[in-house]
Amino acid sequence: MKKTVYYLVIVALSLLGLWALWVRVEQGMKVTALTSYISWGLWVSVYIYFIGLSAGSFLLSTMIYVFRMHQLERVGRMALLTALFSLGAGLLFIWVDLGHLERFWEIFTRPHFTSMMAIESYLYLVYMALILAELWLLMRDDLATLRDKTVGWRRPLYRLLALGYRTATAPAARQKQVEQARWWITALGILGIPTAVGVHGGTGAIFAVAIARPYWNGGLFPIVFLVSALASGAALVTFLYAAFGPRVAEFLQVLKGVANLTILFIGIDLLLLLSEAVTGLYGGVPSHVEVFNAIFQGPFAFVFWLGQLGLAAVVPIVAVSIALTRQPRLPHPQAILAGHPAPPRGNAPTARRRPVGALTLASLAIVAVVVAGDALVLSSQRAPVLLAASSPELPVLSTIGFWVAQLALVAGVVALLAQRWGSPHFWLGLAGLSTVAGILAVRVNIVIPGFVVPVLEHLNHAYQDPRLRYTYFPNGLEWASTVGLVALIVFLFSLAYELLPIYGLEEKAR
Amino acid sequence: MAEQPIPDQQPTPEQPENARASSRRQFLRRAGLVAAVLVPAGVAGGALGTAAASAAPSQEMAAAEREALRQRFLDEARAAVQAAHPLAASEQLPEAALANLADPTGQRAVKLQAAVPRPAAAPRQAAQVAPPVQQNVLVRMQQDLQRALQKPIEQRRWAMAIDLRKCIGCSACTVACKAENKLPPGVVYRPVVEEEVGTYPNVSRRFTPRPCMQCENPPCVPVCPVSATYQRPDGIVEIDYNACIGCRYCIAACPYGARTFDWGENYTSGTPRLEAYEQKVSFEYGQSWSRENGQSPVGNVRKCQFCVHRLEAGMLPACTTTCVGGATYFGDANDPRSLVSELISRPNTMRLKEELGTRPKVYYVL
Repeated sequence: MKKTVYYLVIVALSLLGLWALWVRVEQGMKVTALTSYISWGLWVSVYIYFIGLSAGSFLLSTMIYVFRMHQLERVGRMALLTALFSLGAGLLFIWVDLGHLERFWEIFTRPHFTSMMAIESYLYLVYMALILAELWLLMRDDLATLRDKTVGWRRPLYRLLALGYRTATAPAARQKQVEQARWWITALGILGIPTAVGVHGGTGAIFAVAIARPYWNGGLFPIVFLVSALASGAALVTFLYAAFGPRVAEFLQVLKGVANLTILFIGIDLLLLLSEAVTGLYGGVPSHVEVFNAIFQGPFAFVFWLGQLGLAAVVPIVAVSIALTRQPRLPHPQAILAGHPAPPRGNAPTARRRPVGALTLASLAIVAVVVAGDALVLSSQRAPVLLAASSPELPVLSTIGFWVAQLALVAGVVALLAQRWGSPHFWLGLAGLSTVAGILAVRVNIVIPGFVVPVLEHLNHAYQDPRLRYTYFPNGLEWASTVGLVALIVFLFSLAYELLPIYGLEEKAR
Repeated sequence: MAEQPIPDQQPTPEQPENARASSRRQFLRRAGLVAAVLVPAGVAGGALGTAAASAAPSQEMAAAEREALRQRFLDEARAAVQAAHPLAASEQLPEAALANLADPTGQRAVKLQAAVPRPAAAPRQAAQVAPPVQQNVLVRMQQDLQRALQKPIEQRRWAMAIDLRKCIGCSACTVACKAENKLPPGVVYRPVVEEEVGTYPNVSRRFTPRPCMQCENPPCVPVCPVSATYQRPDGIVEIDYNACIGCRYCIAACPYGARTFDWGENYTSGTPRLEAYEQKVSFEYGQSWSRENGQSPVGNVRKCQFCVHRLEAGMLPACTTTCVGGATYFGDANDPRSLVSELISRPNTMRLKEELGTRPKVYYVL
């Protein structure tokens, strides 16, 4: 029942996406809210977002297959599948953004090897081939088993996917097969590391090489791309595993492992952000300062404060810290195997109410103070000035102070809830989901601020035209197409997730 | 050829020879010297000859010697030019240009001049030349253009000079460009950036027209994933509309905001009739482009191309001919005689964002 509802929703959204795509193809780029001055917007942000998600989850899979972090082994295939579908989504979104959709193949027929965008396109193909090969090697035994055991319409599918592979029956031959697969997976993984780094670091370099944009132009930028890619990849796997991973004995341990990694990458990402912002603001060079002003206190400052810092830093850090310190309320693994797969809901008789701790009290205090402060601000005449951000009427610190207070509020609420309610795996999964959503804000804040400062002073007033403005907010069609096409990819991913042996047949049978 | 008279510095018997020469060297202007050395026998030489017809035979000898020296100078100059400018040497350079190239400081001419004994009485008539009538700059630039078109394309280097002192901010160039290239809404090749200088009420305004800079080292060219934008042999950065996939990477790469995207909009769409002027073809890059049914250049990046379709038909760019104040100059920077190369070699010029190393071919005269 639940599944039917899920599929109904996702198919409806996919149809919305296909409709938006049709409108886009039919009417051209004029259906967007982009301008010639802010010429990349939501679609390009979503493109780099998915490329990052892909590279991140691929690199996570190499930690398993190359660096042999066995505790993560159970999420290996899922990480690779995520990498594959994210790559597809990224390519779909950059394709939609082209002025001439029908000419995309020219990247291969008219190659230009000095263009980072062209180099990246070739690399995406290599990368896709690597992922496919690795996935196939990991699943070939299971695919062969499925081909032999399944009946009905799935059988030809598995026959196709197994590519004629047969699992050897003789122990010596079987041993050889296993070793061969292991060798190839390791080799492809090793080859995949520079490829994935190139895929996402290189996508960062598309931006970093633009001398016209001081915000992008620099050596740190591709690294920022990579680290946030790792954060989003790890976060996605955390979420998927928390939500759909089989509840086996090591479930929570594996989940904690990937959640920890996510937090590590978020930490490095914040450090890089701090470094960029401090050095950018210090010198007072207008082309640098104005970008950060736009990010921190411009009209879309909420993208930074609520998205980039709130969803992608405060929520996961607070949620994971509390979830890691709490005792699992999951029933014993033996209980799951005995036929009680779902943990008891609500306050099971066995779960004791814990006493109210100092952390709870502190969280309550923060929430109360900030809510009171917000109520005061909103009831005063200053609210519109503050919310419209960058205003000469207010000192910079009050705008930033406002947003910092909101972050404290978010932290307080999460801390309060995570302590009193829900299971650890719920909060770890939420941390992952929140990061995955928040990294989109990181991507938006990479692409759009690069354009907001006029390349020549006063160029914004030189010619009045709706397409020659330095303001941009995605319009309805851009949102509809983004939501819809993401839903389409999620739909396809769900199908693959159901049909393919993502967790391995032996484990499922266990 | 310079028509200035030879400055009349007759040596006085009291002065020793070398002192006379050095004082003359200090005094004479270089152009005068070059003229003195290069006075062709047929023209000024002839005048000299008739004026000095009754002079002593020693003066005739001096004239012959002068001619020999002149030839020697020219031969040396040719050799020097051949060594230094292999491209320029392939064509027949006029003597003045040759002298200019081979002897930029004028020292060679000074030496030769010092070696030549001057006739006793320089004719006064030669000095009384009417001051040259100033030629209309458009006519002159037109001639420069014609001369450049005679050359092979790879020897042309189209450049523009915009005299900011003369620009009145009327935006006629912007409009002329819009009309010439039939630009749709949102596409502009040459906006005029306006700045207010000072604090109210003590303010003035400053205007900077901003065409494509046609950089020698264009940042937009290497980033194109499909090689749809490239530098032509004459230095103009071209966009192949039939190849451009519309990724807009070049817009992100241009430090001057010179590239805009054709969104496929029309001024009169949504009104009862799409006006005919919006459906006219544009002749950019010497081809005809119709925007009907979303064909290229719709969905492409577009920019100023110095009206290359007009250039190749012997016409100046639309912005240049239309400029009310005559503030825009255009021509071949590879031709030392062209007006534009005279202007851009002056010290009172600048280019935008020179620190990026893009080496624009649009110069602003200050």
